[in-house]
Amino acid sequence: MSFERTFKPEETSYVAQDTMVQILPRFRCDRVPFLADEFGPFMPNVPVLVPCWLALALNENGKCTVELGDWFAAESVLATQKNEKTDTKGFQPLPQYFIEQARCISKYVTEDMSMHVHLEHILSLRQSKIRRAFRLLRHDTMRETIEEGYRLPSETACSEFNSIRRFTCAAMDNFNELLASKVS
Amino acid sequence: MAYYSANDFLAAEPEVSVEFIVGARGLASELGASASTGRRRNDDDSNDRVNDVPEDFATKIPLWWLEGALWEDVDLVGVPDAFDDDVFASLEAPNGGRMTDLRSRCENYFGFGRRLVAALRRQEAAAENGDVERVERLGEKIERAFARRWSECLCEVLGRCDDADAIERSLTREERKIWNAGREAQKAYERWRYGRGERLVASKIVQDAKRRKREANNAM
Repeated sequence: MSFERTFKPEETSYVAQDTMVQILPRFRCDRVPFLADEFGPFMPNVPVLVPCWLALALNENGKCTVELGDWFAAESVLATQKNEKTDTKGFQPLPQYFIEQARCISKYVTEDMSMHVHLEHILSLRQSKIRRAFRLLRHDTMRETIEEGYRLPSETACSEFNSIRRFTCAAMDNFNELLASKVS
Repeated sequence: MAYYSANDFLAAEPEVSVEFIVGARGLASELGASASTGRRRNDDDSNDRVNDVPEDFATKIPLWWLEGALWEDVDLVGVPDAFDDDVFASLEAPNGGRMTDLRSRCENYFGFGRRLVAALRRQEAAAENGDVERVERLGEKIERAFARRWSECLCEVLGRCDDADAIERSLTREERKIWNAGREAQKAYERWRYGRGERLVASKIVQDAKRRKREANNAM
């Protein structure tokens, strides 16, 4: 079960760019066919949903304004941070690729870094919850954990899974070997 | 057992104490047994060769020697020092998982322990009055030791860890694999996020000095 290689952050960032975001175009164009799908039509100041990679390309050329999601608004981020602190076990709902999207936004869309400090704090709170949950695994419940699969909250972000995937698989391999020798 | 796993080979290298139930031939040079104390294996052995390892000869052999047919001719005597009760007691102590240096006791502590328990179980199951429960207790102690190390040492890699170097020096080979997996994932993330290889963490000496200075300023 152990994986020798997992996704790199660059790869998850690439996959994250397929998430749909809302833009306000500054040009007029009919529906444009791409390999994956068709997007548009584009009319000035009429919101339209496009994938993130297209939004960033248009934004770079000054052809649109990218509308940041509700989750990235100041009030929403501060509320999420407060709830993450008070809720000691679960995670607050955030987009699956919120770290990658935040980085894209900071790099290409806006230079306002104030929300990133709060997002970093949210990330470290979630990491400490994962660490605390892992510490609770006990040897007498290990068999059930391995057979049923250790479940993280469904709101766990993709990059958080990435950071613990190889670590968890290597540890479960060792637990499995110890338990298998007990059966034989 | 993974066929191509080098770690699996290395896990069976440490030596265990055994006593020969019957004499053996051809092992004297490996074990340092004296040929003069040997006896014939069978009275009707017409080859006129003697066993150069006598019956009841006590020695230490690598654990992997017991994987073949030799296990029927030897008895495992006791357990290695690395699996003494005082080692498990030190692991069970508060913060024991973090403070105990398992690497100096056995480089492949858990792999070796697993193979040792399997060998002991086979021996006790074959014996008339075998104590299989004692072997199962040893196996449980090793599992508890790993769970302890997991929660007190290995989980620290998932966040900011001040004494990462000290922890890493005390990890066994299997634990290092888990530790490095977590560490590399963190490094890859920070390289992507911040453009640098590793988060800079102030050493304990610097942190203590800052704390003393802060306390001195507060006192004034």
